[in-house]
Amino acid sequence: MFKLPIVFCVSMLMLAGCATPTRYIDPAADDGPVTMTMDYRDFEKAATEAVDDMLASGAVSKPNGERYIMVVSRVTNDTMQRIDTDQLTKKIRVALLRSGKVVTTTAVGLDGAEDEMSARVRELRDSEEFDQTGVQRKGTLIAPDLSLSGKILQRNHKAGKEQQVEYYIQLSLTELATGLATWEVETPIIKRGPNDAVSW
Amino acid sequence: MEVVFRFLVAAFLATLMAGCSSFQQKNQMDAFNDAYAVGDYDLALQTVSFKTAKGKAVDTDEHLLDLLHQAELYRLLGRYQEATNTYDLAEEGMKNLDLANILEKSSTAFMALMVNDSERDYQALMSEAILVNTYKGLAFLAEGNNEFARVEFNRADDRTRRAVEYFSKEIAEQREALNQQAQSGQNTAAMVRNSLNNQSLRNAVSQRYEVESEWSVLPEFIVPASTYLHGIYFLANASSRADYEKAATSLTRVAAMNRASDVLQRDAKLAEALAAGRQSMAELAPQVWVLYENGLGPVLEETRIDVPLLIFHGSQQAPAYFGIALPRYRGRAAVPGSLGVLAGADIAVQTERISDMGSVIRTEMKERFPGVLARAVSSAVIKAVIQNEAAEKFGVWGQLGAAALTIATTQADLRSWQALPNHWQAARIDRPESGKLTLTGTNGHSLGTIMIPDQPFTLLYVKRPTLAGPASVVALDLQGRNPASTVQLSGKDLLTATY
Amino acid sequence: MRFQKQIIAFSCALVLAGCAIQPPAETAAAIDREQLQIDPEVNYFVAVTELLSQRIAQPGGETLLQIQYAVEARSNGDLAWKVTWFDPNGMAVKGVGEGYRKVSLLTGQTRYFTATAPHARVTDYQLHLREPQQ
Repeated sequence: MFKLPIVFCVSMLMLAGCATPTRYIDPAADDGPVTMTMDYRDFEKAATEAVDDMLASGAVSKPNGERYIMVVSRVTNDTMQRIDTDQLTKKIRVALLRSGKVVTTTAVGLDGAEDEMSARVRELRDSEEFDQTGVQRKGTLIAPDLSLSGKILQRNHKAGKEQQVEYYIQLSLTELATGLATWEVETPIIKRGPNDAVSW
Repeated sequence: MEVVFRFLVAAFLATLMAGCSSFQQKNQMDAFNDAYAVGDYDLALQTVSFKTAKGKAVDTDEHLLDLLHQAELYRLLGRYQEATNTYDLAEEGMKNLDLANILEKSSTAFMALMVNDSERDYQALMSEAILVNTYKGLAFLAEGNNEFARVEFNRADDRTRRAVEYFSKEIAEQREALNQQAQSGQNTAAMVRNSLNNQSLRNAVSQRYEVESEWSVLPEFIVPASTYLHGIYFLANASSRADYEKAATSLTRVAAMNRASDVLQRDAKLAEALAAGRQSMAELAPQVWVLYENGLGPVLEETRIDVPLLIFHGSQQAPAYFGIALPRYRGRAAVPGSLGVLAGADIAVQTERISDMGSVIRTEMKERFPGVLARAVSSAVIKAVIQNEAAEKFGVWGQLGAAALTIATTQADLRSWQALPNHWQAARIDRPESGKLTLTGTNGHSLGTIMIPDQPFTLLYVKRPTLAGPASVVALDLQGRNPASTVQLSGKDLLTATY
Repeated sequence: MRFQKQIIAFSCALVLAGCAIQPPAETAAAIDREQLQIDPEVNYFVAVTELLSQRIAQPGGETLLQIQYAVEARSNGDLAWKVTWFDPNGMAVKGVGEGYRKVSLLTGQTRYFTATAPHARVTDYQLHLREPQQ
């Protein structure tokens, strides 16, 4: 007699139980499940280790106490996942800027300037519409002395019944005057999980 | 009594659905092939389109086969962004299939047994999945998105690695599942096992599949064209020794699959020399690879085999023959001859056959076949039991009804991705100073002239399904710096076509 | 232990209450921050055997605070750690991220971890060890 309502209630309860609510995650207190793909925690770990090591090594401290100018070169994504490598380099840039030792130039880059405005505002140079005292003069842009480049690698293996996914985040800092890599790091991130699906 | 009656009703309803789905599937594939074979890709696109309610996500599992066809058509039409988006959806659909157990626990498993395999969502072949990533990589290159192209070629490589493991796992799981069922002492499971072990079934199967010739397979499971593209992509994009090594590994692997191919041996040697530092990139003239995807790939057809089943009549066992329907690959036509590549007034360089799709699919089918056979036999056993019960409970009419159902529902799953080629051909030449390359078709007639931009590595990717249709040609910058567009070349070939 | 914490909390509160009246420069020195914070769940299976700090000289003439600590595990387990850095005024100095670094320890294993301050003005730190949820 009560069968139907009971079944209905139970199924509603089950549905309610299944639905996960959308919520905010605080990066400072995130114990959430690990994914086989690279997530923000991996980038944060790699960036933390890179910056920590960079600062400790003294490679980013200019002997005369001034700031180095850095340009971000190519960070190749050699994984099976669509990664925006800026996620990694931005964290490093921010931390280096905060350290007071390194500023990043956005006026020059491999595929053109990151911020084209530095060049664009100079086009105002002979414009009669603009007060020329405020227009940037020639020879004010500063060329970089350091270049940050790298590669994110992925290697997958079958480990027993599981799948092992290895990411290697490799970074080098090149002194542009000499072409020497004055600092390098490799952060491995190893994950092991189910093998029943592809890792991306 | 009531149980049997319910079973019959369920089976009857299932038949209605089954009849519909396999009929619809066949109709749709015929319509697609008619348009595809004459190169009318826009019409072909209509045959595989489906509607999704506004604001709802595409059910990628259900529409996987449609998505695969759509995506490749978009690529051939030069609509690269749509191609990559659709390939992404198709890959999503395959991901879900990856997750599903081979012997599913879902409700479709029951339907597949009660009716047939065409009730299940389409199970993409591993080779199809590898090609999805390869084609998607090509589409990204055409868009000039080298970063994403690299990801796709890496994925194709990883899928290749998984493929071998996947097959051995699939077989192991099926054996285990059958053993478990048999040990649990259920009548039907024991019957399935007995039937599968039955010598006359084995004979019938091996006769129908002409074991030796039908299973002429590759020594290693790879899709040679995909591995080849992976190799030349990394050769062109190498920034370190490791990348050259990667290229050399892939190119030697493909070369080992076809020792007779000069093109493959030459490419493998080049990659090895670059990896070892014997050849410098600076001294290498701009290279043009021509990859010619030719003809129509194999399709499935149905073959019926009678299986002896031992049915229990009360306490007595009586043999009865039951028909099962199995899928079998049939090759389709290729465009005869090769593609001539003419730089200036020289003699045309002819593309040479590097690998065919049939052997790739046969390699995979050989591994999958035990599963297909086991499911077909299980399905037959269940239907036999129902028929038997129906005869006992409802007399002759019951048996007749059940038999009619059995006949109607015994069909093989004949779906497959029809846009795959018969085989691939390749050639590599130095880029001519003028950048002009003339392609010649089957009869030596000119198909048209292509301008190769001044770039170090070009991949001229040509796909021609039939002589009646045009060749879709795209000159890709392998380093992904310049976007490319597709041209459809038919030249005089169309007029002189005799096939 | 718990009682102790209450006392600390209470005294902190008192100090803070005092802050309102006193000039802010003196508050930093008055805050008695524990440099090492270990959660009870972690204390159960690891022991912090060393906690060192030094200032490393930089080519530009500055110095950076660097710390190193060692943990010895009594049983297998996971540990998460984070260092928060403070300037002479007691204000937190931001590093790269806010997340905890997770490490796994084997029984009997002693492991050493180092961390370098993100800026030369860092003079103090707080190391927090906790047990990750999973």
